[in-house]
Amino acid sequence: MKKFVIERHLPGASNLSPEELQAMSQTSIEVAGQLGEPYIWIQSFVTGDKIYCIHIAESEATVRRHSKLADFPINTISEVAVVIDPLTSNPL
Amino acid sequence: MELIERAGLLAALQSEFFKVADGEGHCIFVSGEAGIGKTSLLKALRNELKNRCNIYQGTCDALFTPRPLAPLYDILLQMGHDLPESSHEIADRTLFFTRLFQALYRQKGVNLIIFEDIHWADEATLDFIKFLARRITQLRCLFLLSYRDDEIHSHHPLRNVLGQLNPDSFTRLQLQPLSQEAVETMAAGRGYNGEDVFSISGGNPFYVNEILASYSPGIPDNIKDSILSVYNRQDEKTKRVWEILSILPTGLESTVLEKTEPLYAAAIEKSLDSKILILKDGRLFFKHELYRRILEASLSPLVRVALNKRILVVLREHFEEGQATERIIHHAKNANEYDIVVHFAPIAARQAASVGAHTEAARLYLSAIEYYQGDEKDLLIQLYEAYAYECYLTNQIREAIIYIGRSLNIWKKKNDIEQSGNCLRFLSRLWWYDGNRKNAESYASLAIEALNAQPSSRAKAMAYSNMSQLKMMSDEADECIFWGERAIAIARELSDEDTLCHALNNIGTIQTNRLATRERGLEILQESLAIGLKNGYHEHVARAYTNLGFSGVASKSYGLAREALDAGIRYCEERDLDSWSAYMLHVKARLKLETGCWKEAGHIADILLKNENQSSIVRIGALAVAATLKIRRGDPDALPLLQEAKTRAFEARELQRILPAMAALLEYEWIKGETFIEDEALDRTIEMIGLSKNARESSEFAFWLDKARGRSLPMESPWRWDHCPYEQALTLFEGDDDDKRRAIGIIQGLGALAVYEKMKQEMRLSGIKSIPRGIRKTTQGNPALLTDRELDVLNCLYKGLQNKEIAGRLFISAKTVDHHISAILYKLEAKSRVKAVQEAVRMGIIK
Repeated sequence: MKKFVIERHLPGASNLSPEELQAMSQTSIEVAGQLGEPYIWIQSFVTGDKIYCIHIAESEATVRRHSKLADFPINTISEVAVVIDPLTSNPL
Repeated sequence: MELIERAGLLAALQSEFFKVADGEGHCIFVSGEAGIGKTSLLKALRNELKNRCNIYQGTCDALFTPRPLAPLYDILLQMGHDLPESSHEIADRTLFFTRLFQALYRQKGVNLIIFEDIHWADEATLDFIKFLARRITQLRCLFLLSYRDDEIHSHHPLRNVLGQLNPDSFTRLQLQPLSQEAVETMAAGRGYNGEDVFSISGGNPFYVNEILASYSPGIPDNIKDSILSVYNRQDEKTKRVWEILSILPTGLESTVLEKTEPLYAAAIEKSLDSKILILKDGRLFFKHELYRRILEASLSPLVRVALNKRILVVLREHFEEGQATERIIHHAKNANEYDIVVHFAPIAARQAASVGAHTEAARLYLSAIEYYQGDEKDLLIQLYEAYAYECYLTNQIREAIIYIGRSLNIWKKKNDIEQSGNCLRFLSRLWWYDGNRKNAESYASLAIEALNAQPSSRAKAMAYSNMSQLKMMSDEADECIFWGERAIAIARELSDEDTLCHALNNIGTIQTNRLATRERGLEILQESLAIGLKNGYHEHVARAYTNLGFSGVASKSYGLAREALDAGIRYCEERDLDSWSAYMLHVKARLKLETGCWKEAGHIADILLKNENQSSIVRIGALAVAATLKIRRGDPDALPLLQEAKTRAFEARELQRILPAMAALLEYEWIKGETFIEDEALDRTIEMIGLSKNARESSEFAFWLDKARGRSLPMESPWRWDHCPYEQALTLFEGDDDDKRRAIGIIQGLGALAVYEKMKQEMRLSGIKSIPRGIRKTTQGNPALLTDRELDVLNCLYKGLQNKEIAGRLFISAKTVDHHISAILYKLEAKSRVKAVQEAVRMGIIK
């Protein structure tokens, strides 16, 4: 399994209403379940004109399948090589 | 809407119009923030003048990429002229501009041309604006252009345009916000509190009007709420109509809307009545673009995407292929319809490129690349290379390098040696432009290595010619000719006149650098020029003129240089080949510097330096000239300019860039009596000169090396400063006392204050008497450097007084009057008193 960062272009994204956000989240989870393979949507960051999403899937192709079924736009997908946080600074 | 607090500006515009009617054309740039009332002002002007002149108006689109030359098509339509139906048919853009110019010229009466919102103009339209503005004085035409100065960020191309125009040919008018009094009066007229309205609106007329329109339910916190409250009060159908129109920056044809939403006809009528929507040329718009933007931004993004999808379908149904491409792309982007963007963007890009809107072409190709979700290598290569080429033309060199690199990777994987070689060659050229000689050389070699074993091809010929060009730049004659001749052989074999022209230029130029081969070199250069002119190879022609000019200056054949540069600059300006004319201008600046026309030299250098996007090579030359003038005049801040020039010159690694920078620094050392150059840099330069055998080019450097450091270089023949007054004066200064006096007089006449002071010191220390006086402070204020006394005499001449009368009036002797008059004639470069007075009036010395 791999981790992916997805960039979605949606002008005015920060204007999404709570109802719309709820509907989108529901769609994401439902579609994940319909893929026939393991898939996890971790989290998404909604900004002014873009949405950044973190997903875990087998491959980029699966991520694209998910977005297509859910009708979410994809601008770029990048595979995450490594995740770091403050604890990474501990002496080895 | 009546105009408030704009009477003064309206009057100013009208008086400019009358000046045009009496004499020559003029441009006016009207600027101000969005909503400040530019459109209203121009509308009022149109009303005032409608029976006195022909009025033509064009608008620029606020699309992702605007339709190239949109405002030109607008005015051609209004002029009732036959025009090509679409930009497909414009084979030669310059011809198109010229035809429009001629059509205007033939018009009876005065013309008023208005271009609105040029901050949204595409590159081709901006080029037209430059084209027309540069020739405006030949027409009886007032060219009015409006733009939002709050939408012109620091690298906006419009800034460049304004910087390249002759300051005398245009005026700038900026609209200011309304005063508090005015706002309070407007508010009071409706019975409202002016202070609140003023503080929210900041005096912006559009905001003031909106707030006053929606005031009654309560004071809005900001303008957004004001407009949204109006929106929320409307009925459902009206809201839907407004939603649709809010995502359409170029409005929508009312016929189309009526067909798609027949039930909304009543709502549309109502909105037109209340003047929130307007009908212009058959299209429905909001009364103001700000209105549209605020509504669009308030929509849910999902609704926005859905609306864009709908409009996309509507546009594709109602318009023929190729008629609304830019609008379709705009909406496809906003609807995330990737396939449509990928399909249409390259088409629009090609069209844009064909009329010279290269900035737009680049953006479109990039969109296609970014939105392409597939994997077809062939398509990617096409897009990468097209994009890279447009980047090259719009001075985005690093970006071009990245994408050619990607293209190269694909060609390598496909094992296509010829194409790989071509990419390597292009990369070499791009790195050279970026000022990185080292990379330019390594890629040039890689290209040749790749193609050497291949059969003859254009790519192979160009790779050889590219190397020959690099060698020409670094003055390595034997290698230049070696590679050039191989390029020429293949070019002739394949009847490739393009590469032939390029290669001939290289070997011609290198041969003009040596006395022995100069004549032959000039012949070859002329041959290259002829091929270029015959085939319309604009770039090659420009390069031929440039090299003729450059070599002329280097060999001090100033007449030849002047001819080539003037013809070349004219050629380039007619075709908007700005980077070439900039290059030639920097050579011209040096020509003017060397022949003692310092004012012109400084003027040209300043214009070149003002352009932040200037290529490094041009910048070096302009810096050297500007810095040299500063050090001679004793102006401060010369050193940073000199050091920048030197650093850039060494990066470029070419002797022809290094020498002027180093010569200027050495001159500075001589004037100041201090050291500014490290020995290492000096030694390296001398080493490069030793390898080059191009004696003439290094004569300045050798001259200053001798004066500043007392070192002399072995020279083929002593140099003569036939047409160089400054250097002549310096050489003259080494003579006897009288020579010294004459020399210092010349230096003073040139305005080289710092050098004058230095010479004066020397003369004093040697005990020489009667040193000519320096230039007094007052002369520096007026352009011809006339002293106070001379100005007095000049004014008397203006009044028509005779010498005796002048003497009486000023309490000086008649002989002194004579003396002053000769000085005046000399400084104003006039042959008679009458001409001197005329010149003085022209220069503004006499008001």
